[in-house]
Amino acid sequence: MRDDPIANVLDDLLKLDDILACMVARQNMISVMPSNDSFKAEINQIWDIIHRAMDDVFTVISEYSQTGLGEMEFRMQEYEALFYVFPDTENALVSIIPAFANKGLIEVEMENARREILAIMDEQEKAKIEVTA
Amino acid sequence: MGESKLEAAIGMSRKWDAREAGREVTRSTIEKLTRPPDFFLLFSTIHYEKNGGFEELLNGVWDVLPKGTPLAGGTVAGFMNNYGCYARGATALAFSYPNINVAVGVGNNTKRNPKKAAKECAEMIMKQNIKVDFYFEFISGPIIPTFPGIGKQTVIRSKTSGNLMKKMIPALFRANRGTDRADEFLEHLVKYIDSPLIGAVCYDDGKLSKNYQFFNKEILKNSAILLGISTDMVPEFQTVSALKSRGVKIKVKREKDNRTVTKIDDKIATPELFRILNWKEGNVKEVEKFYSQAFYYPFCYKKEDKIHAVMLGLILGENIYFANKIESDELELFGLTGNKIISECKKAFSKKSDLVYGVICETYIETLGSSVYKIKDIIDNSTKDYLLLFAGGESIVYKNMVPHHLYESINILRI
Repeated sequence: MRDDPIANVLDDLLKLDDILACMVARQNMISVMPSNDSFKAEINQIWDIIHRAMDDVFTVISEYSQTGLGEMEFRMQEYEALFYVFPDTENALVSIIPAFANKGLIEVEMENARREILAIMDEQEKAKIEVTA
Repeated sequence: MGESKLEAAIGMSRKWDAREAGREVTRSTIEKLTRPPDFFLLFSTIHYEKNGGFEELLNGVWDVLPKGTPLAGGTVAGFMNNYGCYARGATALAFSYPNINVAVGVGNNTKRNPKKAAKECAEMIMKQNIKVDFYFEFISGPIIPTFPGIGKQTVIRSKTSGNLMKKMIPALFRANRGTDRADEFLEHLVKYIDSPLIGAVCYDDGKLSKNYQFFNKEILKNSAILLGISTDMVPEFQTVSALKSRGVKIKVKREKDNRTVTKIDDKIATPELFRILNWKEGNVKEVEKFYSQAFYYPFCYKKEDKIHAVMLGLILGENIYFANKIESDELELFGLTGNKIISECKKAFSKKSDLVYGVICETYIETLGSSVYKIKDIIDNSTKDYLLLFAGGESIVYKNMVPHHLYESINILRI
C-alpha cells in the first residue's frame, strides 16, 4: 500500500457503500486513485464510457474553475458522477455513485474529503517552499 | 462556562474500526471535563454495523468512560459539532455539573405497542424518584417493510396488492416493523411526565432498513430511551421550521387509524396525489424516486402554531398510508428549499449561547448536501459548543405539555 495521504482520504470515501469509484483527476489524467488502485467491481462495465464523459466535463471545469465553479455532476444510465472542484485549479475530486443513492449524505462526505485533500495539498506546498528556501 | 460551573464537552471520532472509534469519541469528550461526567450522550452513523459492530463501539466507549455513567443515544443520519459536519462517524456530548441528577427509562417494542412502551419508560423513571426538570428522548426509527412476493417497496400501484398490504399493517407493527409510531409514543408519554422534552428518532443512512438505540452497555432495537435530568439549570427550548407554503390546500378523508387516506378532495387518493404533485405514472423505480423527493414538499397542518408535516409512508393501491397520524382533515402543501433552511438557521442560531443541543430533520442535510457547512458557519459565530443531530423525526414538548412530534423541523435546547 502506498503511503499517500490523499490516497488514504480516497480509501475512506470508497469504504462508503454508495461510493463506487473515487479519484482526484483533471482532464485526461487521474492524479490519485485509492491505494489499491481499484474501484468497486460494479463500476467496471460502465467505466469506459463514464471516463470519456468525465474528460468532457473537465473541459468545462478548466474553463470555469477560475470563476468560481465549485461542483458539477452528470447522470449516465444508473450512475451519477459528482465533481468537487479544488478552487482555482483544473483538478477535482470525482466520485461515481448509484443514481438512486441518498446524495445529500454523500455530498457531505465529499465535501469533507475535499477539505482534507486541500489541507494535505497546502501542507505539501508549504513543505516544498521550506525545502527550496 | 466557569460561572455556572457547568461543563459540557463534545467529542468525535472518524475512525472506521468500531472499538477504536468508541474509545476515541469518549476520550475526546471526557478529556475536556475537569470532573467525571454526570451523563454521556452517544451518537453514531450506521457504518459501525459493518466495521466491528455496535457492541464493539460500546465496548470501546466503556474502555474509557467511568463505570456507572448513565449513557443514552442511538444511530443518526449525520451530525454537526464544533469539529465539522459529518455523515459518517461517532460523536458524544457529556455534562458535568455540581447540581444534577439523572434518571434513565427504557420502553421496548415501540412499534408493536407504543402505549405500553411509554408506560414502561415513564414508570422506570418514576421509580428512580427524582424531580425531573427536562428530558432527552431517543426512539427507534422507521423500517421499510418487506412485503411477501413484492419485497421492500414503498409504492404499490396495484389496487389488489395495495389492499392486501394495507391489511398487513397491523401484522407489521406486531413484528416491530413499519413506521416508527414515535408520535403515538409521545402522546402517551406526556400523560406521565410534566417537564419539557427534546427527542430524536434514530435513523440509518436513509435506506430505512435498521437503526439502534444505546442504553448504558446495551444495543437496543425498537426501543425508546428517556433521560430525565434534575437540575437548577434552566435550558431554553426552541422550534424552527424552514417549510414554506406552496399555496395548495386539500381535504382528506381518513380511516380510523388517522394514517390511511382514502380520498383527496372527494377523489380516489392515489391518482389525485399523482395529479397534484405532477408525478408521472412510470416504472416502479421512477415512482419510488418521486416518492423519495416528496419529503421535500410534504403536506402539513398546524397545531399550536407548529407546522406538523405528515410524511408519505406507503402508496398502497388507491390509498395513501402516511407515516404519522394526521390530526386535521385539511392539509396544505409545503416545500423545503436550501435558502429557506439557511435563513431560518440564521434566526435560530443568532443568540449567543454556551451550549446548543439540537435535533434537525434528516431531510435538511439531504437538501443542503455540502452546503450544510453554511449552517456551521452561522453557529460558529454564536455558540461556544454545539451538537446537532440529523434524525428521522423530532419530538418537542414545551412547558404546556402539548406533544409535538415533528418532521422537517429544527428543535433546540440552549444553555
